[in-house]
Amino acid sequence: MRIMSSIMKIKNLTIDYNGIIALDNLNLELEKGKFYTILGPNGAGKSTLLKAISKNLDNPRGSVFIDKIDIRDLKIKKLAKKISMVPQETSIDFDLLGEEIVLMGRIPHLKRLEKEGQNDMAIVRDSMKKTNTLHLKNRSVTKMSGGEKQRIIVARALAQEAGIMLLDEPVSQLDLHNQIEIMNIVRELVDKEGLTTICVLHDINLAVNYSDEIIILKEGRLVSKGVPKEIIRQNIIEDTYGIKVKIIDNPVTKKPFIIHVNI
Amino acid sequence: MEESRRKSRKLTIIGLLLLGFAIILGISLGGADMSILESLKALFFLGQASQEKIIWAIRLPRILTALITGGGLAIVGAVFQGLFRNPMADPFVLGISSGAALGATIAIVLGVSIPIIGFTGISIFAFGGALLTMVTIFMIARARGSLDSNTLLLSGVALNFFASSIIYLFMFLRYDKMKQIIMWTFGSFSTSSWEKLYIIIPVIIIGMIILRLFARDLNGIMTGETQAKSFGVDVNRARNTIILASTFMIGVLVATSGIIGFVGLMIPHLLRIVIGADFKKLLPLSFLYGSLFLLLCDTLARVVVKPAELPIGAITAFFGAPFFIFLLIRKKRDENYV
Repeated sequence: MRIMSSIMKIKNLTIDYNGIIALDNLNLELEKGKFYTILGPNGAGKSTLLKAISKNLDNPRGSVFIDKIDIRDLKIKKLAKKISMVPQETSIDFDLLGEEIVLMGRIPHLKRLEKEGQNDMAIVRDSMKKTNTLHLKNRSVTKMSGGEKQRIIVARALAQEAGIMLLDEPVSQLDLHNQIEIMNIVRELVDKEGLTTICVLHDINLAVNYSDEIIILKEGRLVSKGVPKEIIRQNIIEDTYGIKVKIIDNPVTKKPFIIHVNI
Repeated sequence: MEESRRKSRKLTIIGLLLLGFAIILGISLGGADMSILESLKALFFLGQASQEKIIWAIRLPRILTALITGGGLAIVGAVFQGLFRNPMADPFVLGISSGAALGATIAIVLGVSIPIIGFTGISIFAFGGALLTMVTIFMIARARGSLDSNTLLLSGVALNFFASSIIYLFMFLRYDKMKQIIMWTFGSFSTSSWEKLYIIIPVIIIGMIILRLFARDLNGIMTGETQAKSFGVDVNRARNTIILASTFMIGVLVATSGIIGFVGLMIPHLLRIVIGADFKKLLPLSFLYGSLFLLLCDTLARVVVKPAELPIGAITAFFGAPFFIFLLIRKKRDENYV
């Protein structure tokens, strides 16, 4: 059996946007090497949670610990060595090459006057290989498709060599082929590299297929957390999203499969 | 990456050669008639005393000022375009030029004449106006808690209009000073001197070193501020340092030579078309080609209608804009068949 070790602990986290409670006294503990997906309707606090973890919010109440260190005590560079981030979409109007973008992932490891060395270039190459982007090395980001660009961003996040990767709706702008490609890449990183990922998704079936555990949020509160088979239940989904659903066994994966039923 | 590195090396060599040529041209052309040979002899103290004086006391400081100014404006333009993620940004986008112009206007209207180390009262007031604009920008930022690029840009636009409105009021009230105020805003290198260069050169060199140290941060910020933070760029610190260094550079340049537009917009864009947006390559080349462009423009400004002079601020855009548009059209065409 694998020994589970805690990588992140969220304690009494409350986020208050001028009187609007986005996260309400949230407590969570996440284990190393797992693929977590956060589900929940719009406004449930999914993206807010990612922002809080990546220290992008002013004055949160409560604490986030990574490897037992309060993130308040981590400077921007230190934090970037522990957490990387893949946003929903990246719009870059400037003519930067794929390799130049992935190389930015090495910033947390370099001193201001330090030049990128052989080791950094090797890591960049390796990250590009794992995300199937080596051929985009010399292509300008302005000439990449949405899927290619997103893979380059994943490569950059990977080059940070951080143990945790946050992904905020990473596939919501992509076609089905590219959605699957990105999800496969991330899943493989979890399996082979021991990466811990926390991913916000809207597609419940996609989440079921790829996640080790699912975290369901509603109105800033934790509804449920656990393995997909146990928490993707009709009553939970119907209560969370306010819709009627039917849950069947996916004939291929034997995992739960959601069908939305209109009434 | 190797290819763009090769291209930027090539551009450096070409640029240096052209700059050498432009300097010789600038030295030998001017109000007094001298052949290239005579000018070069005078440059190395082998010519007539009067010619040596013209070269060393008049033409050389002017050439150096144009060179430093062009380079400085182009670098700050490149930096601001990346920092604000806005291709229309130029060195004056934060209202620094209007602040300087307001300072100059006040000095002109009040008739301030307290020259300090070769700078006139007008220059000193202009520099003060530039710094005051920056202080205002930072005060707005502090009042808001933090500041994002859009707020900065909008604050700059508002300050620009505000300063301009006061300038217009002054011009309205002091009709007699209007011409002097307008002439100042056109920009000119005619009052260049070694004394001024002793101040300008260190400020620009230190500023450039600081900006170069933040090239990697700028690359990151170009891809988005939140993202840059997520891979370890201290965006707030980078932005504050960059704005501070840039303001000093622009403040000193505007105070000595007035407002010279278009260099800071055009040069970085042209270079990006060829070598891409990586700031490590873009910054040094921006300086080189900004220098070259402004030196050529100034040479033109002083020989076309000699012994009179055309306003340099008008020349840069008059020759630069059509060329710029031509290249933008050509670039579009290239992109289409890629």
